[in-house]
Order: sequence, then C-alpha cells, then structure tokens
Amino acid sequence: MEFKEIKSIVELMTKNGLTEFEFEKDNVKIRIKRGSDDSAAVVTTLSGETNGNGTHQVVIPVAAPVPQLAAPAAAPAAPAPEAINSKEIKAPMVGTFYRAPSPDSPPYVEVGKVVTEETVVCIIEAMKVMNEIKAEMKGVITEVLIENGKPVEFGKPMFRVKA
Amino acid sequence: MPPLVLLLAALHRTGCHHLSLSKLADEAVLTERGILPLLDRIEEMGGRLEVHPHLGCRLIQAPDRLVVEDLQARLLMLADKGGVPLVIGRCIRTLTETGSTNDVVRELARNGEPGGTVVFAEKQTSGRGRQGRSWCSPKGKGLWFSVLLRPRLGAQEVGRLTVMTGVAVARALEEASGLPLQLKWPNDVLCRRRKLCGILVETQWIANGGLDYAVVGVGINVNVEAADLPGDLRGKTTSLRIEAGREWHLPALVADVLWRMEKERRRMEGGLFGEILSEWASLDCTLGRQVRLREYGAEVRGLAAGMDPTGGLLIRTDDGRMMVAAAGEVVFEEAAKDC
Repeated sequence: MEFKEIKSIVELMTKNGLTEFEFEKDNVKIRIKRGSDDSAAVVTTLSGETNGNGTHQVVIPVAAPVPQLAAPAAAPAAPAPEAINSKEIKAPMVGTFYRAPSPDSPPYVEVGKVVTEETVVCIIEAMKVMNEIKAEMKGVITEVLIENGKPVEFGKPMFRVKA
Repeated sequence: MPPLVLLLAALHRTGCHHLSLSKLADEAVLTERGILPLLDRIEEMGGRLEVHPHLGCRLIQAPDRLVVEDLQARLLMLADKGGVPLVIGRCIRTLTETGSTNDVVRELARNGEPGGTVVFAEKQTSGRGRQGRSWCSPKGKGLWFSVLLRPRLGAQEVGRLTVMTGVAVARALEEASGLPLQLKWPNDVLCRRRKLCGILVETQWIANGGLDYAVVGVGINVNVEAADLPGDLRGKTTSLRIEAGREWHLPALVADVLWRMEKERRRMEGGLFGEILSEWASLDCTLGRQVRLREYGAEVRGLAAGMDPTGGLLIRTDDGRMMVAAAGEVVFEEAAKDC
C-alpha cells in the first residue's frame, strides 16, 4: 500500500471524525489509530511478506481537516452531520475567562464570526497575566460556552466552531 | 557595541575621577580625535563634562533624561562583570509619548522582534492595568516601560513572569533607595502599604499551544508627587519621592531594575525558579495573613499559607481545605501590619 493512499485514508478519517480504521487484503493488514486532537495518526502495518514481527509504526502528522476530497463513499456509518463539522476551542490553562480586553470593549468574537487560526477569541487571566488565546482553527463561531468572568479549567471547551 | 556606548560606560565607571583622552579613546576603540564629536554628543544629551588639560576628562553630570546610549552604557557596566550576553536590554528604545508601551511592544512582537527588547516612554497617554483600568503615568516622573520576552513556559507557568518581575523590581528599588519594600501577591510592589509599582503581563499563545511572546509592562512611580495623582488614588498609591522626600535620577534606576530583571530571568529560565520564590518569601506581606479571595463572584476566607511551585497562592480555607488561587482578587482581612 502506498503512503499516498494511507494519507488519504487518514484525511478521510479526520474529516469524518473516525478514530480507528482496519483493513486486510492479500496478506497485508493495516490498522490506523488517530488521536482525538487531530494532530497525528499512528499507522501500524502488519505485512505477511516480512519475517519476524513485521510490524511498522509510522506517525503521520495531519494538517487541518482537508476541506473537500473525492470518494465520500468510503466513509461508512457517518456520524450525525453536526458532529462532523463542529469543533471546540478548549482552554489551554486554568483561569478567568474574559470575552473582551476590558469591560467597556466589545467582545473579541460573537456567534457568527468567521475565525482563522490567528484570530484572538478571548483572554484567560491567570495570576494577573492576561493570556490572549487564538482560535487555532478556521470556521464560524456557533456557540459561546462560558460566561464572561467565569472560571475555566484546563481543557474545558470555550467555543463551538463550525468548520 | 557603538563607540558612544563604550565611551559613556568608561566615563560612568571612573565616576568622579578623570580619565585621560588617550585612555578614553582606547575604551571607545577610536583615536583621540575620533572621540571629540562623541564628547559633544554627550553634552547634547544633557551630560556635563569637565576637560582638564593634564588630568583628562570626567563626567560631572550624567544625562537625566532617558537616552538609549546612556542606558546601554549603564547596563553594560553592570552586566559586563558576568560576561554573559544580555537578553533584557539587548535593544532599548525610548519614546517621548505613547498610548501604552505594552501596545508598542506587542506590535514589535507581531513583526518578529526577538526577546529582550525594552521600550520606555517619558509619558503614557493611556497606560493601563488589569481589565482596562487606567494607570497614571505623568511625563518624566516615573519609569513606564515594557519588556518583550519569549521564554519557554508552559500554560500553567505563566504566573512565573509576574513573580519574577515583582521580585526583581522590589529588590532593585530596595537596594537603590534603602526604603522598606514589600510584595503583595501576585503583582504589587508596596512601600508602607501603598502601591509603588504596578506590573501587567500580557501574553500571546500560538496555534500549537506554546507561548509565542510575553509583554511585561512595568510602571514605577519615581518622582511622582502627591499633586500628580488623581484624588481617588491618593492614600493607595505612592512614589519613591513621596516616601523618601527627594528626587531620584531615572537613568540610574533603569539600569538597576533592568539588570535585576535580567538576573531573575536567567534564574527562571535556568530552572531555578525556586530561588526566586524564596526571595519572594523574604519580601512578602501576604503569607500568614487572613485573606478573602474574591473569585468568580464568590468569596472564600482563609489563611494565606504559602505559594505553590508555579507562584500560585495556597489558601487554607476556614473549613480546612487547601486551595490554590490562580486568579481572582486577594483582600486582606485584618489591618496590615507592616505593609
């Protein structure tokens, strides 16, 4: 199996939110496991042609979800449409969540706002350090999940974004 | 290093003694004729030189405005002893007036400026504190500046920047002035219970979760007089001048503060944050006192018991739990003892 083919499988998995994929043909077995953070995929190939354990593990970095790809038929049992395109911006630290740079300023983002990786979406204050947080993804804000001035824990979803 | 900086460093180093023109020329790596225009430049900066036909030259009055070459020379004089290149103060810029030095430095950072750059303003027209609160920065009466840093810090460690800066500023000012200074968690430098210095750290995180840059904003009330302060700040805010009853020379303080910040930065980035925490403990006026933590609209009462390794405040609550205050406002229950 070619690297190109594996890569397109990983991309399809990423696009459709699948985390595991297994395939067997002509004495070649391939298993792909993807982390939930979309950052990398672990590919294990078990080839019958090699002696010994014949196991290879490769980590393929995955870029942002690929927008359009041919052969959607390859995706079995697609999850509900909302889950496919919906992602969350999570808190990278513990602190107080602020939607605007100061109480008198307008919020960084509102529902409906188009964001890119570089868009600042909020501030998390921790020990009087004002941490500006970027969206880290492209999409449209569909929901603000935390109230202004409330605490956030590490990894807590703050915004829902439609890709 | 530019010849003018080397020349100024030599003049600062010799202090009240004279230095022959040939020796000065050697220090600046120039000819005797070559240093003459530089001596004129020093006078243009506001310095006063005395040239003696036999003894040579000495600086009888240093520039009292913030001039980049003079600040670099002073810093060089302090830092040269270690021989390690400076990060903080590697590049210094001075502005007559700006909105907020934090904004100037953020703009530099967005354009790829390396860490260590320091920007001073003689006057800030919209100096700010937390959550858009304003910071009063009258012209030429204090040190209003911001430092760009690009340290490798995890998301749970950013508070170290506040702690490091507080310790550096308090120690530098205490040594320079002899006044009793204290630190109130997490970001206030106090003198006799009133605020002498404010610190505002702002950071930006990059897409993969790492720290891109941090802007450490510092405002030190040096020669601010009571009449310069808005009515609602009197009683809560003070200055070196108010406390000591005399004027202070700004450029000398700049060098002391930046050099101390550089030393603490080296400790922090060298894995010695524990040493900074011990320094904090010796300056602290929060620990061991009854506090109320106003966090997220709720109030928790307890005893400020210590600091955790990241600089967070440990509070033993009245019902016996131990919690870490990462955010929120700490208010002292009892009347302050010494600070």
